[in-house]
Amino acid sequence: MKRGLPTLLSVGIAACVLAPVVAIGLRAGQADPGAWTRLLGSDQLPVLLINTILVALGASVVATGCALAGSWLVVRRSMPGQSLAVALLASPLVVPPYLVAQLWMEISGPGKPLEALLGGRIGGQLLSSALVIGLCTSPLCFLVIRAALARLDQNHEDAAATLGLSPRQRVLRVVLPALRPALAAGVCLVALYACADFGAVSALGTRTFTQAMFFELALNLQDRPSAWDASAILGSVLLLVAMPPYLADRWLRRKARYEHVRGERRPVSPRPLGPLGQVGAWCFVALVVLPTSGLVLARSLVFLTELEDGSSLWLRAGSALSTSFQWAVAAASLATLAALVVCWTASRTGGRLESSLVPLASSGYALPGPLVALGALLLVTSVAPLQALLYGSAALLILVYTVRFLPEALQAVDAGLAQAPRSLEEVSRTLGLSRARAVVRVTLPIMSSSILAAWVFVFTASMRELPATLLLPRPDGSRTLATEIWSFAEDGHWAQMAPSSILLVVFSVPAVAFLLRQEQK
Amino acid sequence: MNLTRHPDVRPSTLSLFLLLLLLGLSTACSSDKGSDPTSTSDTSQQATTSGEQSTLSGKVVVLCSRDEKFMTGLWSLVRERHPGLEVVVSYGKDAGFLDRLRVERDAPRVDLFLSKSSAGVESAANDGLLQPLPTSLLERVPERFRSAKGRWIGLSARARIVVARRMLASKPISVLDLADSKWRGRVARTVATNSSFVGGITSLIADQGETATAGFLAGLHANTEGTGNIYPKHTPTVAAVSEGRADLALVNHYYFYRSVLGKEAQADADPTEAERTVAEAPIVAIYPDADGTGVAWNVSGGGLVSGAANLDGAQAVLDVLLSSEGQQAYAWTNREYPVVDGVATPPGVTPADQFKWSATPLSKLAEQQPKAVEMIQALGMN
Repeated sequence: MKRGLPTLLSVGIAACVLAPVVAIGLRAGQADPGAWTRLLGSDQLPVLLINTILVALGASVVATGCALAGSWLVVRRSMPGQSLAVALLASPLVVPPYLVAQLWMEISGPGKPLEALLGGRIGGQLLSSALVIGLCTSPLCFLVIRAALARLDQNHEDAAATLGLSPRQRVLRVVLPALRPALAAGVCLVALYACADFGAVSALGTRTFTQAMFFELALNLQDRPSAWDASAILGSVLLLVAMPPYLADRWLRRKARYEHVRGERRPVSPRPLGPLGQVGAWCFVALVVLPTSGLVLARSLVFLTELEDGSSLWLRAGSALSTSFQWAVAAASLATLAALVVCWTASRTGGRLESSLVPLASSGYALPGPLVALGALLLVTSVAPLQALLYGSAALLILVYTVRFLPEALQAVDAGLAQAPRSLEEVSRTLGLSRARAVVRVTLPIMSSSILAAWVFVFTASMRELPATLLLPRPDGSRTLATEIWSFAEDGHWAQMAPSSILLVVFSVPAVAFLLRQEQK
Repeated sequence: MNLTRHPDVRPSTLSLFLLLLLLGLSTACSSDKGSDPTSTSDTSQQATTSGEQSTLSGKVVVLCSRDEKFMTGLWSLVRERHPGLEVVVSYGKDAGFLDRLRVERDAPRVDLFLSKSSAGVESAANDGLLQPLPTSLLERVPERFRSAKGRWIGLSARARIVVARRMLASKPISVLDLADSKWRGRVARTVATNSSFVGGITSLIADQGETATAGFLAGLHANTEGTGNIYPKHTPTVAAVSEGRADLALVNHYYFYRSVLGKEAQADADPTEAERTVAEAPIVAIYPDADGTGVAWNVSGGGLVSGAANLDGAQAVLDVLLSSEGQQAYAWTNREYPVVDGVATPPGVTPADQFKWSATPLSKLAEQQPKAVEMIQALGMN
């Protein structure tokens, strides 16, 4: 087998993904032992550990709970307006958790609608962080569990019924066990997300590892090198914390590959809901939507009417949108291209090295976003040519977005490539197509929707990316929608963030709609 | 496998993707350093007619950790006085700015560093990142408001005060009183990661010593932890007191006035009216430690970056900042104390000469900052 440019490129891409982690590890390893004992020996470590785990667990429970109930509602029951319910249950995807968290603070703050009820007690509580993250990530679980539930076979449940199981027992002993892989995948997804979250937890004043890493980096102004050491140390510990859900997720995915559906499958037909059931169903949908996307939309619209200097704010939001859009387009294209190169090389060369690069390049998935940014910054500032080239440039941000969201792009492209086996290309070549034309006319068209899915995912995620954007030096005077929202909210100028919030939502809607349609196929 | 199984394969999807790919790659290459001209809202495009003719021109690159909201008035003033100057401002946090100044030490791209806290500019000065200021600028503010080595000047001052419910029978007179166990569950504070909270503890170490501060922190921790009175920000912290969920809170003075007089500071507010509103509010501001070490305070400050390309432009911005109009535009918007003698205190705010200021020099504060962080973390405070 001959190894050429594609292999070299793939190795380079995997190296780019791993480089930030290596940089953090090296920095933490070189740090003063005193810093290790200060950070790991003090009372704060258990606090951070427990908080991070509790938020991750809480968010997972909330998300899978909502997703399970939602999937049951849309797969096993039927009612008028069901597709609206699906869209609404997926709608929290259009709002980033940090925005939701900021608005939770706002509505429970002084002189605001829910003050009497909540009295500003939202902040500093693990429960609110778990709720915000759980509700906002519930659509991800919802999509996974809904698909799994729709795949279940009526025959199994019928068999259980003939064996004398009551409907409740059938759910507990047949349906739930069958959903276990999907549920576990959802839990891993949300737990990883919660470990990585910076915006929501800091808006709500909860101390987790990611938040502490930012804190360490931001506070010691006198001695910058030791501030860097400290956050590298916390970063490497966070890496360990994120490991279990990551490994569990990989394991589940590998297992899932061997699960094939054999034989005739009879889908379960949904049962119509009675009037009371419908009321309950819509109440449930409201429970997911109102505190998240509903809140953002409603509150932003109210803010718009309160704005005094609306036109200048819209101008600012417009310039932020243009920056966010450019960077997100660049990152999405770069990530999709990189994913194509890596997956293509793995599947077409079939080499062991090439194949092992796919999971390696996907490992960025376990890396919380702020860690990627921190590692990239450490790397860039310690290599002089890189620093001259990248420091303070948009290119660095685009690269970090790319590395950060590459795993998701890889996953989509990998799935697409699996549908376009090499034999198809070979068949077309026997029919007289040149190699390049075979790829363009056969393989790429089959993969086009997966490629588009990868692109859309990275685009949407980059549009709203916050922690890396905050951490990295940006071009002078540049703003993104995320930094606009964040800086207004940090200063308590809630109403001013409305234009940026609305633009961010508007630009997320088509992407989410696309992903939803993709899932339904 | 049959190709007709993929009816959704349309050439348009593919070409759309390729188009986006191209677009993306081209922006990746072109959107380099600061290429987005619309993003710098503070450029001097709408120069107003001004009496004086300024001959200054070129770009002044500013790093600013003060809230953007409190800077806009100042930038319009700069535009008015120096229509030829193009001010490009990046807003962010001190830590990131210090890192950037350090990285760019040998090839500086920044002219002026404005920090919301003396710790920011003092740290930059200690790192050799700021150049000496001309005496013509330095001497316009009293000595206590500027760097001992002449590397930066204060631009506005703020006091760390205690907010108390007016109804309270016995009010504390010292910050240290907040650690008294009799206030258990009755003290509101921000999360300990808040930079003003850390700043307050830093002042306390400098004023009262390490042992007293450690005792205070432990007491405050015991009085607040798990009481539901720890808030992410200052505004809800003050609100907790005004709504009776807590009796006391430790905040920067302007948060008190923001709560009582309204969020937006009105430059033309009637001082007597404002004073009356303050006198009738359900909460009072206690400027603590009048009999002891004095009120802890801090300043926002600015300094010229070593090797600044547009030194004249950066100095001109500081010059505008120190003019009485500039001081009003800058300090009043956040109801801070102006630092130039003769500039009035914002309407309604307790005048600077009516309380005792701590005598600790600001340079001491920056030294103590890491200690403060360490003490807070050692307690595992939220």
